[in-house]
Amino acid sequence: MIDIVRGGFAGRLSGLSEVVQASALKNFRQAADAASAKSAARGKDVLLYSPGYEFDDGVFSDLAKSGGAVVFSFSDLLAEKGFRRAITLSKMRLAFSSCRKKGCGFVVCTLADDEGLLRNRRELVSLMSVLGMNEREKKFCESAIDRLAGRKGKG
Amino acid sequence: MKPSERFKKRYVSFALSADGAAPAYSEAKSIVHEHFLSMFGEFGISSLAFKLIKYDQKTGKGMLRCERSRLEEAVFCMACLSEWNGKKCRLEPLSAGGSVKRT
Repeated sequence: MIDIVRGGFAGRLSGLSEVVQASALKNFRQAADAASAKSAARGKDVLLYSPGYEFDDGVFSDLAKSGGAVVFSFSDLLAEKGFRRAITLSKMRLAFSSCRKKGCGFVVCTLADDEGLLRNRRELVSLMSVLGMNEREKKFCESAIDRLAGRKGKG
Repeated sequence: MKPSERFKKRYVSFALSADGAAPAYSEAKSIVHEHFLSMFGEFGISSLAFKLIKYDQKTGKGMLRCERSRLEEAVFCMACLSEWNGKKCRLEPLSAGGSVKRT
């Protein structure tokens, strides 16, 4: 399983085959809001990340057509505390539920800025469970990140 | 109580570090207890069958117990610890099993 990170540092944790920087991926798009997410979702095999996890329904349909995926980041949870963390988790769950409904892809990674925010494969799988994924969806999630993040520089 | 009526348990071994060093037993106990309490709340803890089984302050390794069906939630809760009392903390789950010896 590949992990996508934001910072430039050496090292990976158990169960992860490779750590890839988001900036090295040409298909990684970060959208600040729902409007920019809509235009970002149209490319082929896009990894769409929106820190607010607020998407229009059309975004999921576009991603389903283009073979792209929504990125769920562990760092977003680690950055928050208490009630705000609960709200972020709730938004992530809703976004995953829409992904399932519309049939678009989804990936889970750390998007870590530093080594302290890295998490191993077991921990990423636990986040998948908490988001509501079943065993089949977890396997799909792992294969999707290997497929989409493994194509560095191919855009 | 019949064995079938008891909680089905899972044991999770972990490695705990605070600012890169293994904390003392009392500190480790409060880190783990306070973190689980903040994530699950009193009601959640009651159904989680949570218990800190052992902790070695020399190595920073220990083991905790949880309810079988909520193992993933317990692992996720452990992964969510990143800071405690201004210190950078890490509670890394290592392995999980059905008995203390096997874990």
